[in-house]
Amino acid sequence: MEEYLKSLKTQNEFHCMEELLKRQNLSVPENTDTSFGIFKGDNMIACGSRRGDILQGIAVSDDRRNENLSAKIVTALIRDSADYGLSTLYLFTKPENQLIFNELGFHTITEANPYAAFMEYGISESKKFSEKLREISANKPSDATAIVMNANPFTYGHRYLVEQASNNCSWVYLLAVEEDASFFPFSARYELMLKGTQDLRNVSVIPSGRYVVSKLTFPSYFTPDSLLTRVQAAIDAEVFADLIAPSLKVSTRYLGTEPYSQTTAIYNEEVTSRLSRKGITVKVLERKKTDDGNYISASAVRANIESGNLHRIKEMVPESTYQYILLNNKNIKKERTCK
Amino acid sequence: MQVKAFVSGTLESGDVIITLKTSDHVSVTIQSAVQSLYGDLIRKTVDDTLAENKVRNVEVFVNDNGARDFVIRARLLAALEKKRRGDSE
Repeated sequence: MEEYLKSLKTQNEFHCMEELLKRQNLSVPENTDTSFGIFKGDNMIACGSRRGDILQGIAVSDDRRNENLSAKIVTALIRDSADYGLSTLYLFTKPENQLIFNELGFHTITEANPYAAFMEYGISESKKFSEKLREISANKPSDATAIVMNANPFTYGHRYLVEQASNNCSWVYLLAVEEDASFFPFSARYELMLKGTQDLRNVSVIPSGRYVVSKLTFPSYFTPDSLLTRVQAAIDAEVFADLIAPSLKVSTRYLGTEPYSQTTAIYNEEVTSRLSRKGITVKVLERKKTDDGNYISASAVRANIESGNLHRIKEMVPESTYQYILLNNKNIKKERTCK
Repeated sequence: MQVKAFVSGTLESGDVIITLKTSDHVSVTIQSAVQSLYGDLIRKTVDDTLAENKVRNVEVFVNDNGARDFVIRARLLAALEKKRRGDSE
């Protein structure tokens, strides 16, 4: 019977893919951009999908192992990706399956055992990213400290964390989460982090790139789910330890607490245990309170913007953030309603 | 401008698959099943082919699976040709 590879189009073809993945105990990828299958007659014997630049759901039927069908599927995915301008691809796989993808030319960025290995194919963006960090840190002291911040927007709470680090450490890198999945766009969050820390002479604010708390490493950050959070935190921590910390000569990471967020608690716990194992000191700082005893949080700031109580924001944020909000209040709210 | 990517080849044994994209410099990464034995030779083939064609603005990822020298050369030329057409679009 003839075997052929095709791009999946019909409901029936996608159904075949689901069946194949389920037989392999693999989850069915959602919102994919493209899927390929290899059929023998009406039976699907191999499949693979891509969502953005992440390959997912690559599987070969049990009775057709060792025939290089995965090479055919991945070839199709690589060639198709190029048509969409992608010269770098990523995937997450079980740690024990790394060898299969190694042989196809993937390299491991990091392993978060026992959950997943994070791998890259093609023109290596992760290598470029770590080279960029190496340039930034070239003339800075070693034993530096890093803080990863979304700062949505930058508050006195963030300021407090940075100040503590600045007072106690040789150098502080503030990694600004670059992904635009927040109330305030990255450009604004970045600008307010710069302005809010410009008087601290041993602080550098750096765009985080794709490898810090992005959907790539941490898709559940904005949708709480306990195990998913743990897995993503594990990957995030290992990427930090293997890719970022060595390039920036960072030996300490500061974490803030989030008193009302279970997600952040799980995240911090996982990151702390993994970084400690890799010789990176973790300092968890209690969140700063306002004078009347309430925790300062960016979410409280956002809530006050939504309800129009701008005067309540003033005691929670630095002047630069406050001015930005006053100036952009209408736009911020308008964009919000449009979404 | 969107950076385009161009691919030529397959992951089959005895073949090579090459990814390239426009850049402001030349950089070549070789990944090969026979890296320790033939890595230098593969690199020379790629460097020579780029030089012969006066290519100064590509990043290249060569993923080799034991391809012969002329196969590597042909795959690279095909990818460069795709890029030439893509750039003039």
